[in-house]
Amino acid sequence: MEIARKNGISGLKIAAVLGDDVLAKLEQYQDTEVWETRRPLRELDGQVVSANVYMGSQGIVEALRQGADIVITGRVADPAIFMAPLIYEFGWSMDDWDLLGKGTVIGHLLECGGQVTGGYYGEPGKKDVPSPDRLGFPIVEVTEDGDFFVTKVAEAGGLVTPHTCTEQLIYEIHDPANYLTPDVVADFSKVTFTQEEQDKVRVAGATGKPCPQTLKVSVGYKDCFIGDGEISYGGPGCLERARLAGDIVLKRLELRRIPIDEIKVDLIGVNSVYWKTDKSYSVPDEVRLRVSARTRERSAAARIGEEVETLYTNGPAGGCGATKAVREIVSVASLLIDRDDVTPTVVLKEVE
Amino acid sequence: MKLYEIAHSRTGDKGNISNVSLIAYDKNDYALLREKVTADKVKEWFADMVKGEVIRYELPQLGAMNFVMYDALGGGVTRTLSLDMHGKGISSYLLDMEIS
Repeated sequence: MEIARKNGISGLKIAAVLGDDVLAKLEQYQDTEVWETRRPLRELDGQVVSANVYMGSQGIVEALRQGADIVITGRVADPAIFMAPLIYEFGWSMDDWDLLGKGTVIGHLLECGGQVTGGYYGEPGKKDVPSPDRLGFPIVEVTEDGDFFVTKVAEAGGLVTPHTCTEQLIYEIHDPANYLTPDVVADFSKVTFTQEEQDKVRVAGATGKPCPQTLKVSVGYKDCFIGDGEISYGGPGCLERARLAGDIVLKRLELRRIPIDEIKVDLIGVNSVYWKTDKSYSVPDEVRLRVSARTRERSAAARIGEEVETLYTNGPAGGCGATKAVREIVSVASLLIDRDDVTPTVVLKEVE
Repeated sequence: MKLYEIAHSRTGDKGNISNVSLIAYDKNDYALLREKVTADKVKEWFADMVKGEVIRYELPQLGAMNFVMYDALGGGVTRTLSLDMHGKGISSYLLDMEIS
């Protein structure tokens, strides 16, 4: 509102959708199982600092009905920010499951922006993306019946093809026939993509089933500390020196009896991204040692980077570019709560 | 032949669960992918990383499959010790798989 006032804008209606903060309601769910730990919530090891439920479109729709120009919402399922305007504009019923299924496909394809127009897609020589530096964001044109196509502005970079759409359709979903959202259980399993023109793809075949009675909550809790240290080695013998350096750090931490819950030693450029341990690698020109460990105490986490840094003076030859960091980790515990316990509320203010 | 020759892929994450798509460039290759890249084969391929089960979902009309891999991301994005917290590099690794 301040920004609007500063710019001399008046009459602007800004809505806030609240109700996602369910921290105060957790007490009644202490016996509910947490997905990650498979134990009751009460046994969670660490101070709970937040609890936010994934809400559906309802609150945003209500804000639009009250005339909001701008809607700021608490946690909602990603497709909701696209589906809510469709429900509002076309007057879709909140129990027309097939329409909501189509709306969910629209939201899912749009929710990562450029990821459907050639972002996160390029593979030089196989999947070339035109002008990726000017990647165009997606546009969907949709009718009242939920028929739609995906396109982009012609002058913008990127591309829209059945392949870009397929990658995004399957992104972050599990069973395509049962994509659970707060608004609908969407069925993506019969979706088809047809290239009608360049950068214009017709989407058909989405349906839906009744929404679940439960909603997902993300509980944030103070979990642990992670300490990291990195150092590089280059030239002949770099791989052997980096491996030796990693062994030295592990032995030093043991020698000093640093309490560690879990530790991981990576060679960046060799095995840091794939966790693969039994593959033989060609010898790289340079390699970066990375040691990362989880601890209960901040002081123990700090020891990790310190031992890596110590390799400068006490480790193998030619170690360079050492860095270290300590992070306090707030982890997420997921559980389901009854949707009847969640009520989105709308607060609307007008800039005078 | 590597999967890279005939297919493309994208990885997503939810908590400690990873999902990776496998999409044929040419839908005529879908039957081959379906035959060769089973859930068991994928579980074996990611054995060092995926501790839980692997479920395969099929989308034949798109020439695509979706592999959902449980207990796959070292505890998930917030607490994993992996440099690739989301497991986003998994797609490229899947395409490294040899099929005959």
